[in-house]
Amino acid sequence: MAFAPEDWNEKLRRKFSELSRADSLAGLEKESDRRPDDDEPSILHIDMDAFFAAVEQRDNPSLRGLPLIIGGIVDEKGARGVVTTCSYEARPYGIHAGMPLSRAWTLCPHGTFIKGSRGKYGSASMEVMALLRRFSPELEPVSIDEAFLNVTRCHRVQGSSRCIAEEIQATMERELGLTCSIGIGSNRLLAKMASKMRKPAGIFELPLAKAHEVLAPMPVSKMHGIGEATTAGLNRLGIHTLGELADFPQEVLIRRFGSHGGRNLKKLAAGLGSRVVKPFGYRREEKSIGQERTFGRDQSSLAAISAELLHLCEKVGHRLRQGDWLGRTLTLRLRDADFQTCTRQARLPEATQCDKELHKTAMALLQRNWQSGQALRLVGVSVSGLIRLEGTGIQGSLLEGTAGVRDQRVDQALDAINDVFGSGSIARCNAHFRRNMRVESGAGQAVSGGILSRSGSVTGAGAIGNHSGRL
Amino acid sequence: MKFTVPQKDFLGILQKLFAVVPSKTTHPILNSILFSLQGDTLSLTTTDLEISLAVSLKVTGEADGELAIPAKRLLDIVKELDEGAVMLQTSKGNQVELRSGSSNFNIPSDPAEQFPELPKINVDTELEMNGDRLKSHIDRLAFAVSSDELRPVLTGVYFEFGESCLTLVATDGHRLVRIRDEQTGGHQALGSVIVPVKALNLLAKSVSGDTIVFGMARNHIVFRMGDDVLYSRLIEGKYPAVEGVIPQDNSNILQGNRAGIQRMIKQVSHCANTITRQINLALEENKLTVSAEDSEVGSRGRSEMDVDYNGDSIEIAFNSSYLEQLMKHVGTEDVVMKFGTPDRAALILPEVNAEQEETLMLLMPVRLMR
Repeated sequence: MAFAPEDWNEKLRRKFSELSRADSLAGLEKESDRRPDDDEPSILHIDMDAFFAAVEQRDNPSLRGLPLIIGGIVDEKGARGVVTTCSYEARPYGIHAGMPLSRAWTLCPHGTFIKGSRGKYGSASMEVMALLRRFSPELEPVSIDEAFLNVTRCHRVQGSSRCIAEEIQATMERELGLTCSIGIGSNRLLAKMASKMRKPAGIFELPLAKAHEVLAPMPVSKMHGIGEATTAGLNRLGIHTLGELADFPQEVLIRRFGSHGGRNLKKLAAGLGSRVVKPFGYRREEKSIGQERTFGRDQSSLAAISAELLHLCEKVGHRLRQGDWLGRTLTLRLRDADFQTCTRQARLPEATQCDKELHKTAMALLQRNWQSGQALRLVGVSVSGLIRLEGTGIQGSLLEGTAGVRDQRVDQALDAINDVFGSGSIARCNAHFRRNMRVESGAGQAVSGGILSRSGSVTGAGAIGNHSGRL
Repeated sequence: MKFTVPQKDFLGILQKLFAVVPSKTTHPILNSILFSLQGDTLSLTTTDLEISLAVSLKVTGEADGELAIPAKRLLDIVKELDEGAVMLQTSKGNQVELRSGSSNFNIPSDPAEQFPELPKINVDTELEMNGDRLKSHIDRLAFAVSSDELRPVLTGVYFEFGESCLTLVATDGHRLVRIRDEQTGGHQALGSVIVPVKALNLLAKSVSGDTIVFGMARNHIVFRMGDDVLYSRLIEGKYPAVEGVIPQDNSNILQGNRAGIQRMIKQVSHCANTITRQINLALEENKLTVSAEDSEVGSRGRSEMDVDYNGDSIEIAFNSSYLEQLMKHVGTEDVVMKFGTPDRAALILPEVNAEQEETLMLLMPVRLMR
């Protein structure tokens, strides 16, 4: 009689669990056989060191040892946008991620500035994650360059958490030519805090028992999850270190930061956090989908801003459609030349994934929150209130007649072409010409609604379905 | 200022005025009611700067005067008083004293000058209409206006004064209600206007069988009911051309019991996705099947009903709350529904129209993606 392999696996698993239960019942497992860390959860936080810069330096030896700054846009007038990563050689100059590139440029004019390539880092990240997965299946990537790895159940075979961490570092360096810092903690929070302690290429262990001792002298702002505003609020209460926060009465914190916020702060100070590492294959539920862009130079013409918003809406729409989402709320983010940021939300007339619908609402919000002629540095669009499209439809509009159906077809055709020929192969004219738009000409309006292919030919929006086959 | 008034009359009128007081405002004075006493006539006014209501009340006046009194506090106190006479008078400072039986209250007030002046409106044209008739129209279409502030024209009801009839339209872009009133014709000089729905809801609340007089000024509409006057600013902008949206050739006609269909929709909608509220209607010969499914929670519902139907077999999806609301407002025992294709608007009509009146409802279906 033949058995499917699944049946065998299942049978073996059951047998094994029966045996191990029987062992412990019979007292066969002696106390001395157990390793001390068998019961305590052990979570690793692996944080790649200056990931994008390290990838660039690995692939291009001439960049090694130089202050290397990656991010944003670099043009003849200098740098715009923000620093995404910089190599350790650039850090003594005071450069850090998130800093405006113009500032980095002033601090380190002889540094090497690179725009960076998302694709390259994406594939490097996949290699890193595949490597980590060899050590434990319970891997949760949290971003392109960091991940949590639960090694609680790996000790018998692979040794202590520190052994595993050392082995990960050695393998990573040998096989991928990259370094990482690893934090070992009893929960995610402690692991995350620990990985910051010995950067770069270090390992730090932070079990719960040692948490108070290590965390107490640290300033509150160093704690993961405590931002600028909360730090300022805590400082006003006379709290400067995590030790002071741990000793502070919870009721006062609740009064100041709300019931959730106050309790959460106490937990953070005590080093308590989640131990759940969502294993491979688990997809985190997305809450919003957004895109933003810093202009190459500040923009103050409606046509140019509208064109950029259209481009962003196309990107957001594409991601909504890829994920089979409908969005209900649109958020517009504007930052002016003085770095004043304005964030405004509006409910979309109907849950949608249509580029034009998103653009229409984004424009309505823009008109209400932007003074004509005001120079903008950054615009961003994000969509939240996501609903799964599975099995549902889209509420039709009376006033637009069949335009909704046509827009939907145009979106689908654009997606199909961009998926095959690469993102940006085809776009609506306004979005495509946004970079060359002249401030006063309003050139975008002239070709409004048309579609431009990379070859440069313009077709009418309605005709795109017929033309797409020829590209 | 000093006057005496029966509690019941006073409460009734304060409640009516309170409906205009804005729930949130940056001008605190708008939370007050303007009192103005001349002889035995007490005039009271509230405004939110868009809509103003002016009413008057017969009282026993002792000393004339003008004052603005916070509406909520006054209403809350008067609500709790025993029936009988209430005396209100100004006392020292900016206080007002309120007496009823052995109770005595002091509340602050503001000088009348702080209260915004009512718009000086020169009414160009006037028209009379039966109050109950207008109320019935409003009740049947106000629900369909939009609350989307980004499309202000859709937040009001469109009035078109034509040669042969008055046409009222409300839509939020997904559903539409149009009422044609042939009794109110011959006022084409009034043109067409968009009236904020808040004003109409207020009007529907305070109107009774009496005649209502409409007056139109440049950017205001004025409704006069006896001594009460309601002013509202009109919504500026161009109302979408709705006539072109109404399908003329929906040839699949269903007729069935309205309450039955409404109940069926409501029952099944409990199994629909709580966000999309999508329900599916399947039409076959003399049978209507309504079904809904929520794959996220795993619920499914289905209900069938006999109806008169001889058209094509069609499957069409709608937002259940839109459809149910329309059904609720049809008003007749049977409902007539006319369908075209599953991506075109469906017409929902009463089996028979009231005298000199024509009601039409329109609902856009949910477009199925796969």
